[in-house]
Amino acid sequence: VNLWLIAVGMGIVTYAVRLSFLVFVHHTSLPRSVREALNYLTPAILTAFIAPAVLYMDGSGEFDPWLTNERVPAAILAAVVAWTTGNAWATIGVGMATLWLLQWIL
Amino acid sequence: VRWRWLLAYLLTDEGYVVGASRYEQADTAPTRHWFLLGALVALWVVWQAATAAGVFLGRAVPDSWSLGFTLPLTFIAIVIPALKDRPAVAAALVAGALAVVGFRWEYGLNVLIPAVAGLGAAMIVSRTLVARERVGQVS
Repeated sequence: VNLWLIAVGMGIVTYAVRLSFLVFVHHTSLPRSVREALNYLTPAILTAFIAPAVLYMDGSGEFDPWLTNERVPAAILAAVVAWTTGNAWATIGVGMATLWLLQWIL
Repeated sequence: VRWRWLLAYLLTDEGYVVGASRYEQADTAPTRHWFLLGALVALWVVWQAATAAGVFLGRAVPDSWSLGFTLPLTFIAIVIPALKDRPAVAAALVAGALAVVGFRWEYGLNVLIPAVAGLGAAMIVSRTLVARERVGQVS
């Protein structure tokens, strides 16, 4: 029962945070430099998620940016596919196939 | 404005990306909020269904499948096309490097600090490019 209470509470807080920005801050009222900077939020925040997820080992949490970490070549190949095809399914497919193949070999 | 209350509830990260890329194409139709509503409702339904599937099936999938890796792969698929100019590349490089350094920072600072630093880097590069362009025009 307590878990449900926590879940609903978190939902309300999340909604309130979103609402406060969407309803009360009109985007044209922000300074031009802030609006310009926010254009780059997508590359900034997504890369901040991707880099640690690829470069740290899954189980041990150990830092391994070299090719001994299967995720590194898998991510590189996926990035190449994303760059050349722009296709999200192909990107995920090639990335997972590479990861599984390397895990199977090593 | 009342629309925003509903749309705010339905908003997800993916919905934001779909909406932002649509409105970047200068959509000024008075009914444009319908586009966002349609996208968000579709995403919401899939999201709820997938969450339910995850709750019931999640334990059946062994960890050795490494399905968690699909998340960074999805982000790679989104972020690569977003690297369309030099400030964007600077934002990604700085944010990525700082996120690796700050992997163990707590309270969400491991994402917040890299993101803000990335935005700063993008602005510096963008200002430098503009300044250089002006010099080029004078000479």
